[in-house]
Amino acid sequence: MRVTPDALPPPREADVVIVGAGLSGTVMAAELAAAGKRVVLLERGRQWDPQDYRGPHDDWEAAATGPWNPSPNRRKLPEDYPIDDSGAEMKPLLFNGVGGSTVLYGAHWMRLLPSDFRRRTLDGVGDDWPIGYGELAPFYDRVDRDFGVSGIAGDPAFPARPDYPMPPLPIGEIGETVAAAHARLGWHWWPGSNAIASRPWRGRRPCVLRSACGEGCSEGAKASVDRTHLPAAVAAGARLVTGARVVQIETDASGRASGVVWRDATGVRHRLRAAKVVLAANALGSARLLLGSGAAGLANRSGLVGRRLMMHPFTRVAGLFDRPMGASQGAWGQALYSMEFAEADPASGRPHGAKWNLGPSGGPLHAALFPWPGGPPIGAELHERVAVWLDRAALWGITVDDPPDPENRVQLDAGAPVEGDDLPGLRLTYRIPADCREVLAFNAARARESFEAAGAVETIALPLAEDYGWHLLGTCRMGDDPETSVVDRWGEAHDHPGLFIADSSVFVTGGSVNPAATVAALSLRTAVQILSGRNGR
Amino acid sequence: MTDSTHTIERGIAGTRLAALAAVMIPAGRGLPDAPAAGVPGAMLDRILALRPEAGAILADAVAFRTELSPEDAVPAMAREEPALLSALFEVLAAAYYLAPAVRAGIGYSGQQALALPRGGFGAEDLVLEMMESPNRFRVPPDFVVSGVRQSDTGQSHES
Repeated sequence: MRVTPDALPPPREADVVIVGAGLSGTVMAAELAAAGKRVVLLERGRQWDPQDYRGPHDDWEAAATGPWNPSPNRRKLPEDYPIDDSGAEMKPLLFNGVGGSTVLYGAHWMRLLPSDFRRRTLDGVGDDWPIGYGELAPFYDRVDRDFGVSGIAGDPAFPARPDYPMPPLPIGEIGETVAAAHARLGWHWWPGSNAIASRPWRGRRPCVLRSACGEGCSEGAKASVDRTHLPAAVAAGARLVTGARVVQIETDASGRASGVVWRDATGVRHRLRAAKVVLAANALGSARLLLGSGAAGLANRSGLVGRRLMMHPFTRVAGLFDRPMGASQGAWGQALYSMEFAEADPASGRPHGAKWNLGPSGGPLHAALFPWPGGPPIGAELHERVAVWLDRAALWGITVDDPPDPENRVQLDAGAPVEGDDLPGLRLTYRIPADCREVLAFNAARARESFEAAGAVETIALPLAEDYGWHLLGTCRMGDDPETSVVDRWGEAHDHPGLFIADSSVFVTGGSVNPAATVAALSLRTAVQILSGRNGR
Repeated sequence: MTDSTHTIERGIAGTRLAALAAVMIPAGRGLPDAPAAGVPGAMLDRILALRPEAGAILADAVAFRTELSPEDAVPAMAREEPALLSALFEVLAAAYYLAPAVRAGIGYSGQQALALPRGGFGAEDLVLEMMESPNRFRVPPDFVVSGVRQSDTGQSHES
């Protein structure tokens, strides 16, 4: 079911206004609306029609170089505010629109490890979260069902958990080959857990393995929240307003959140009063709004709004095989993953963990645009490269846990005004710690060994895939101490009762896994807390 | 297509662009060179419809070191303006691999809708072996799995 934004007059009052109709905002909206709260979702982007997604079309790869690129700086749609990332060693990826980044994500569905919540205690790195794995586990269980995740329980890399709603997607010939290699090496591997249907599930069709998740799932198999949560939210009475740019969070004389000011698509300003304001605009957008609200920003007693940005340093290792292996297709969600080096082991020279995911390699343009050593394959080399890649290449993606650093941050860029918006664009500062680069190199070398053990005739390891900054974390960390954190353990701002953050801003550390499941679980947990009224502020 | 691109694709500028494209994507392995595949031409028009801003990339490339032959200009661009070379290559390659003759030549018919196998996900025996191996995750000193009652997580949504 596709939700169409209503044409009613602009809402003036709500119990809860949620800024952003992406993953965390829509999970929040569904939960609160189902409980009878009057919810308004304000989304700066538009509602896309899945018929516009390019997966079934011959230009699916070409479209990803432009209008369907996950980088806002490449898309440059009117709803994309500019981000100066010249000072960032990873480049941010996100999607402004109904469904948010779930429209384009790979739907790798992973839980943080118990140790990720206790990096300070265990490793002397970063900080401990105010909550632990056990407090989040029931919410992980619930979002696994709500998102319709395919996978298989029993992975010894994680604590015991209930069965997934659906069996795993097929791992394919490449997956079976690499799995056998890991069995010989004695290395961990596991069939991928993905928020992608492997059988009919709550109105979703099974995946057809087209490998075009990154351009939007036209089959309706991938769990994007415009499909999984928004219909239920709207059916329960939530209002969705698109093209709504929130430009100010308002508070009353006591500091309590009282609503927002937003501009519609024509630039007209509106005031919406609400007892509770929930920010769900991702770790960049939510920090942008807090920094730009009021004379000196909001919720920033700690000085940490916008700071401690984590982006998960990432790289890719390609394995080229001497025969066709069906590697052009398969779920772009991970066929399998390895947590062999996911736990930090400082004694072994690995201060941070890394998670690996194995995936397909796409069509000829993916081959042509892979960052081959020596630069673009110009001339006859192009044909050679495409020939050895097409249907024969597999890719390990390697994601490294980067410890929070206050100097890695998001700032308003006063020199980058945004048309139709009161807030300017952003400037990012993000340096990859030297020990993270060492961990990347270590894991890339091991990933080459993985492919070599699987029979690859050539392996190519990139030092860094800087354009894959999908995971934006930590700009408004949670904590119990208002002097060292922005929100409390429930996501409520220490300084402003009634102001909540539901998105990845609140991460204290990032772990090395894909964060979508944790974002969903945290948002759901905050929603349940709001409904309980237990915090009583 | 933008007016500026329309201009680029015609006349002297179009000739220069075609020559650069032929150097960057020559014939080989039974495949046509870029101009013969419609780059510039119908295939490049499709890219420019998707990415109007790419017209500026083409314009910059055509204007680059015009005193050099195309054969010399491409390596010079790689040395002197590698970002422009990468951007140009991205546009030309995107157009080239839309061409039916090229796709047929490399045996690529696009991403197909495949039926999921009914026999399982694969490597089930190896999964069982892994399942029986010792736990690999670290256990923090305060690790608790049952800190929150399942009933406190609300009801699952049926959409």
